[in-house]
Amino acid sequence: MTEREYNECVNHYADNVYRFILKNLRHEEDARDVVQGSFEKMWVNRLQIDNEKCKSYLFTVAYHQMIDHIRKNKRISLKEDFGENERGAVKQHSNAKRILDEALSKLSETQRSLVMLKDYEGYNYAEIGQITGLNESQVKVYLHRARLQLRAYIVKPENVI
Amino acid sequence: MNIDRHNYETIFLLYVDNELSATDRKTVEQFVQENADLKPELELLLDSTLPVEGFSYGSTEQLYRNEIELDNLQEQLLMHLDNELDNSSKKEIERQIGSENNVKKEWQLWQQTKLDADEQIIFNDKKSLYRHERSHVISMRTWRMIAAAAILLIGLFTGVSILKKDNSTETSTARNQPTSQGNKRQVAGKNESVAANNTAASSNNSTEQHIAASKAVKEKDENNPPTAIAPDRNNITTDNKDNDNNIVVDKKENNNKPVIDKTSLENINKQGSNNSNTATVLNNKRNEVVSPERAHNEIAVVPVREKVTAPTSPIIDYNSIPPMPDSYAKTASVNEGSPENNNKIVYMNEETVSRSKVGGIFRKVKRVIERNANINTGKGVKIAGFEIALK
Repeated sequence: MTEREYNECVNHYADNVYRFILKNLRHEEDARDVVQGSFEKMWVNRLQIDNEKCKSYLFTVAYHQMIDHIRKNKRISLKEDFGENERGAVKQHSNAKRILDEALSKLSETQRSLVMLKDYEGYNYAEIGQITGLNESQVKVYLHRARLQLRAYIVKPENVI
Repeated sequence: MNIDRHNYETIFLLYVDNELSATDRKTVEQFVQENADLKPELELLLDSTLPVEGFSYGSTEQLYRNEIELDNLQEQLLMHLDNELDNSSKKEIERQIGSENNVKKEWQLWQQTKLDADEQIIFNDKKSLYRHERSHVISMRTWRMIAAAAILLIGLFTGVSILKKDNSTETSTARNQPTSQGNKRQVAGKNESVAANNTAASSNNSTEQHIAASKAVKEKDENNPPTAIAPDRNNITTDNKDNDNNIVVDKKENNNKPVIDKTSLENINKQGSNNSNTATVLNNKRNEVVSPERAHNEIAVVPVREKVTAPTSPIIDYNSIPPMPDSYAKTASVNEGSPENNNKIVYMNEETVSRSKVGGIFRKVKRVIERNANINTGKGVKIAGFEIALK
């Protein structure tokens, strides 16, 4: 990967990675730190990276850095405290979307990551498995369980209206 | 069970709720018959209970579900939602969604769990992510440009000095050699360069004419003290006022000094063009008789390596000598290879001296600089291309 290819990768995928991390962490500054750390690692290892695989490499690094960040800071147990940041970063456009985001926040970070990698980035089970370090069957089972939880939250009587 | 008029209310409630055994119920019914005034109270309690009504759901087939089939459908719908089905399975599930309402409702419900991929969250600080490899180009700031110019100038003058020295060594035509004939006149100076003379002369006169005069001298009187015509290198420059090209030593002032006649001149020219060891005279357009002092300053180079053959003819007037076709003598040199050259004066044209093109460029640059700056070279001490004037 050349310097030009790296900077093109920044232009193409910085927003995607930021969305992926911000939706998981729900904290802007932490998400920026993870994104910058991910690109920094990609820059350092650019000579070993194939430009065709730069996106999956970037998401892999970002996912693992995010997991490390969560485990280190235990942000997941304090997620209610980030309500202001979340509202500032993610604008709610509709009630259905708000309910879905709430349902998404109830998932574990692994399930949430699987759903976002599938729906936002369009990766297949095998690619998601490479990024998250799971095998294809695990991805399939975890993803379906996550869908069932989302569905159960959406069809709750208080969320139907 | 004992029932009497004190505890009959509790037992009547248990009777209505059908919580008593069959024997106890018979006991309660016998007690009511023995106490007829309590029978309306029991009937009132029995009327407070809801009547048992028969309800029929009708067809219950729609309620039956095959648990395995339902899971398979959900999985197919989820796989379809994740776009992981092959084409045949995809067409089949789409057909079911279109044809069966319950499948369609399930599909719509699953679709609500899918995130919107068009949602945009912009990372505003992309500039912090850009990286650039270190460039090997060094920016030229003012002091760096000055330093580079100084280095170039020093290198230029050093190169000129070296080339000049080399040329003077290569083209040296005159050397002051001690001879056994101490009373003979020698027209030579050690380590003198014809090129240097030409350069000095041209620069001082600011003209395009070159001093190309040379002469052959003959020692007439051995008793006369030797006079070296060839000047020192630092005294080669000519007077600006006297921009003469050809020099002839005046007989009146140099009675015992060599003279040149036509025949010897012709011989000298022929031999000089062939790099012979005979002195040659190269005339320019104008000829002039000058004093030895002037000649001393104006002669470019008069190297002497041998005794010059004395011409037999008397002093001639060089004004009557027609200019030679190639009168621009530029360089003279000594052929030191042959032992026959000893004690002979040799003049060579510049074309016969090997010079590099780079050296010629440097000489031209030097001349231009000296002309423009009106620099009188040759009057000072030169160190590394710089000349210090001596007064």
